[in-house]
Amino acid sequence: MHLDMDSFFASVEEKLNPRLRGQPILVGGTERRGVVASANYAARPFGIHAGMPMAEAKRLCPHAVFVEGNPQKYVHTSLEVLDTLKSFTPAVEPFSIDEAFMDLTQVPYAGKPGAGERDPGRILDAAIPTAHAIQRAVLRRVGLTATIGIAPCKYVAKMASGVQKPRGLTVLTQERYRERFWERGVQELWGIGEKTRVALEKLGIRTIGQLAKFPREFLTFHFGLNGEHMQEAALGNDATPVVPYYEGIPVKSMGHEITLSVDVSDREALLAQLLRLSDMVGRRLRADHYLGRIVSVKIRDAKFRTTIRQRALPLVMDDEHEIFHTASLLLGEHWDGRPLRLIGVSVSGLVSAVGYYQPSLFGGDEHRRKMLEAVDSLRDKFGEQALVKAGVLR
Amino acid sequence: MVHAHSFPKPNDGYFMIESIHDPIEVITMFGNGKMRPIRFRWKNKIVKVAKVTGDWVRHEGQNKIHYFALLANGSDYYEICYNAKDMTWQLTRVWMEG
Repeated sequence: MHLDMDSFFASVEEKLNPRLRGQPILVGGTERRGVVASANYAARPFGIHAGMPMAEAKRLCPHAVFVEGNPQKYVHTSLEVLDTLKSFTPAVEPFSIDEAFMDLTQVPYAGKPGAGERDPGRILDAAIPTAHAIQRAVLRRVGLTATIGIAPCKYVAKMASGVQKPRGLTVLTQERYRERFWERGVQELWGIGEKTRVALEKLGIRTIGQLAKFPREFLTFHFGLNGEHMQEAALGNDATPVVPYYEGIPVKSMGHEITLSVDVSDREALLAQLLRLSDMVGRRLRADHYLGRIVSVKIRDAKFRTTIRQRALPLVMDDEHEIFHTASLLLGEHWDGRPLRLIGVSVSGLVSAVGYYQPSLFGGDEHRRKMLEAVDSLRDKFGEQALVKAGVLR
Repeated sequence: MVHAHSFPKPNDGYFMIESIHDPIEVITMFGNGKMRPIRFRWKNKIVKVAKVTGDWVRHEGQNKIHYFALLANGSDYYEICYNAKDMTWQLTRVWMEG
C-alpha cells in the first residue's frame, strides 16, 4: 500500500488558516529563485505544479496566495500521519515527508482472504476497507486527505496512488497495471525523466508496453543495470520489501546543495558557500555515525549545465575540513570561472562509524577529534548558529 | 520589524505580512501537559484568540520554540511562538483584513 498526502504543504497551510480555503495556494520559496513546493488543487487548473519557478507561477495565477514554506510545520504534521499509520501496522516505511509504504500482508484485518485465496484481485480488494479506515483515521488526526494505492508490490502501489487524486483509492493487480499503463508513454513511469525518455525513444521505445517487451540484453547494453530496472518497472515487478521505519534505510550518501539567489562568479564567495555546505555535511555524518571516502562537488551554471566531479580519499572520514579541502580542489580543477547558480557537496562510499577503527582517527588527529566533538556538543545544546566558521560569514 | 512581503497583493481585502518577529505579551492557559494562548497584545492591539488551529515545535539545539496558529477577531489569522529558553513570545505571521 502506498499513501500519498494530497497537496501536502498547501493543505497544511489551508487547514491552519481556514480563510485560505477555496483559494489557489502556492507554498514555496518566495525569494528571487524560489520554486513552488506545493500547489493546492485550486491552483492546478492554471497550469501550476510543484517545481515550477515561483515567478512563472505568479504570472499564471496572479491572484494566488503565496505562502513561504515552513518545514517544521510540515514535519510535525508528517510525524502525526506516521503515528496514525503505525496504529494499523508496524511495517510502515516513510518514503518522503508526505508519502509512506505499508505492508499489510502480515497484519490481520477484517475481510482478509484466507491462505487458500488465489485470485490476486480478490486478495487486494479485501484491503479496501482497511485503506478507507486509514484515510478516515488520517483525516481525523490531522484534518487532511490522503490518496492510497494498493498493489502486490511497492512500485505498482506507487503508480496506483497516482491514478486518482485527491482522496483517491486505486487497486491494481499486475494485470490491471499492465492494462492501464502499457499504452502510456514511458515518461509516466515513476523514475523516468525527460533524458531517459529521449534515450529510450532513440531505441524506438515510446510506450511502457514497448519497454516491457524490449529485448533485455539491448536495454542492459544501453543503460546497464538501470535498463533491467526500467523493464521490471514496466512489467510491474518489484521484489523490494517494505523497510519498516524502525529498521532504518541504508544511507548511500550525504550532501547539501544550494541554489544561489544570483549567479556568482566570485571565487571567494563560492568557497564560502562550499565551506558552509562542507560543514553541514560533516556535522550530519557525525550525527548519524557515518564515515565516507568519496567527496563530490556539483556545480550548475546559468545555462543549467551541471557538472559533478568526485575524488576518493585514501581513508574514510567525517571531518568537514577534509571535505572542504577536497571539494575546493575539485572546484579549482573543474570550474572555468563561469557564473554559477548552484553549488553542492556530498560524501559517499559510506560506512558505519560504530565500531569502526581507523588509526588516523584516534592517533595524531585526537586533538582535532575532540574539537569536532566539542563543536557538535555546543550546537546540540544551543543550535546550529551557536558556532559559525569565520570563512562562512564572508 | 515588519517585512511586507513583495508577492501577496490584497486578496478580497486580506493581506499577509511575513517575518514579523515582533515581541508580544500573551496570556496563556496551561493544563493537561499543554499550553494554549488565550489573548495577546501586539503593539497596542489586543487580540482575543477564538481558536488554536494548530501547533508545532522547532528545535534550536536543546531549546524548544513552540509555535501556535490562531484564529481571532472573526477570521484574522496569526502565528505566534514561545521561546522556552528566554520565555518570550513573538508574532511571526499575520493574515488580516486590510
